[in-house]
Amino acid sequence: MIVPKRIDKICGVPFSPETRGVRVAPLRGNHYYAFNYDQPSGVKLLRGSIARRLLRLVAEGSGVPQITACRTREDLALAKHRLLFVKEDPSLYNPGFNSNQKSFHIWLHVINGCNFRCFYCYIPHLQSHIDPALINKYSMSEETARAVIDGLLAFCRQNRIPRLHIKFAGGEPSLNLPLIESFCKTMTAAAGDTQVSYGMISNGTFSTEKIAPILTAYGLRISISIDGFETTHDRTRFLISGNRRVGSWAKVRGNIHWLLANGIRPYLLFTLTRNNASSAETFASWAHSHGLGFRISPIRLRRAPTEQELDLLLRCTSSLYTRLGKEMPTSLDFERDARFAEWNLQKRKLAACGSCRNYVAVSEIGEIRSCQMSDQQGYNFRTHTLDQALQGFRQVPTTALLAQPHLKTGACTECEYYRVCVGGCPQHTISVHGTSDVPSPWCRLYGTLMPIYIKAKAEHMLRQISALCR
Amino acid sequence: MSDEKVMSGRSLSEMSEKVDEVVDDSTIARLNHHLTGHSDLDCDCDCAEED
Repeated sequence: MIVPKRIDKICGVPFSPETRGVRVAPLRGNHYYAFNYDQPSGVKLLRGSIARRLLRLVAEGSGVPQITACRTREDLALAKHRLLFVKEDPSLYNPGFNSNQKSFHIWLHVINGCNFRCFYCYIPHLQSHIDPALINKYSMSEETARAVIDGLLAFCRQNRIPRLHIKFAGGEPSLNLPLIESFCKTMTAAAGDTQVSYGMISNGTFSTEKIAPILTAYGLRISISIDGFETTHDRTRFLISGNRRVGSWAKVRGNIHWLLANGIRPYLLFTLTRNNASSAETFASWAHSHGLGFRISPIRLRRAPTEQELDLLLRCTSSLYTRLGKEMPTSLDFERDARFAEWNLQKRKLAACGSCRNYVAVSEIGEIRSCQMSDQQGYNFRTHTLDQALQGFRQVPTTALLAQPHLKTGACTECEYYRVCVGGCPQHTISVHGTSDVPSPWCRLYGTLMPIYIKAKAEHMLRQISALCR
Repeated sequence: MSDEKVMSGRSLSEMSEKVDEVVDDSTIARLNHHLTGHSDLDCDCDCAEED
């Protein structure tokens, strides 16, 4: 496959051919906000002499403002917040990457079956609308679970990784709660010095009475997929009863209310499609009114979106985040509770996710995969160590750049916004373009939305600080 | 303004009066214990963030 090198061969002109650097803009009153696209460390609100100093520095040239030494209080504050490069003390600006790995994350397919058949599901070879009588056939066995537990704990000990996070997924993991309970019990008992935490990604149709004791006993955090509001959700997420589609909204909403009433706050995952984009604002208002956070991810199909899809999603997300900046409750965390894709404004990233470095997926038969979207074979907890799999990922062409994202050299890396979006979900880009070293299929959406998202974050921060200082 | 000063009630009013300070997420997190101001946002998403 011939892959175009330049961004303009894929999605029109680059978003921001400007030099990557510090941007500062007025907000309201005498407030300004600033963000450093070269060294992301969060949005900053400025005013007074510090704002005036940064405006002067930015007006003098593009990129990151530079001075030789800090001689004023304003320059010191700007340097401390990584908005200014001080030649005499470069460590202030660039803290470098932490080479000590702190945690490892596992997406664990406890079952390769689901009671839904969502049209966009990216899990390879998933058995959808499965017969409940066949749950065991598609589930992870106790023997495989034990091999995974032993392999993971050995890996963490040998590599001195203190924290391990297990994310139960599927398919629909709640179809096999006994295995999850057994896994948690065995893992917790064997963990020793390794700090193990648990999560679950569910479609929300579980039995609350059955799931609650497990959530409570193991501190298991639960995420629930909701793709729209009421009817738009039901169009994608439904059960089959006879020949009839039965939407899941009422059941999922009821379960969320039950969890909230019992002190459990789920996190919501919203896959944005052309079918539900127009309901994103209604969904967001509903979620936030219940104190629930969410992440919005553009759909990941194995084809590039059409221009019409891009336009629609761009229009809806721009409107959504502009509104959230002005209206989202100040008691919530903008980035966590209204997250978009893999963005994190707080730090410079090498890749959108930790795939092949501090994150792998494990299939229901113990296969170790680069991520949940991949169907690669070759490594299995029954026959290989996790170290062997990670080493292998560095050598296989399709995963080499996931394991070593610093080796990317494509046009994407030249974009001003690269250190926030870092090319989007790499597995999605691979599935569409055959490599992760080209811009995401959602590049135009990301590039247009990013300044809007950052301004919305600043608006929310200003309202937060105003509320706290009232 | 130091982290310690931000913690105090007196500094809250100072901050609202002052016109030349920088406010970031950690400032807000210290003022509002419900918020984390963390850099690790992946806790409940489907993908895991890099270390």
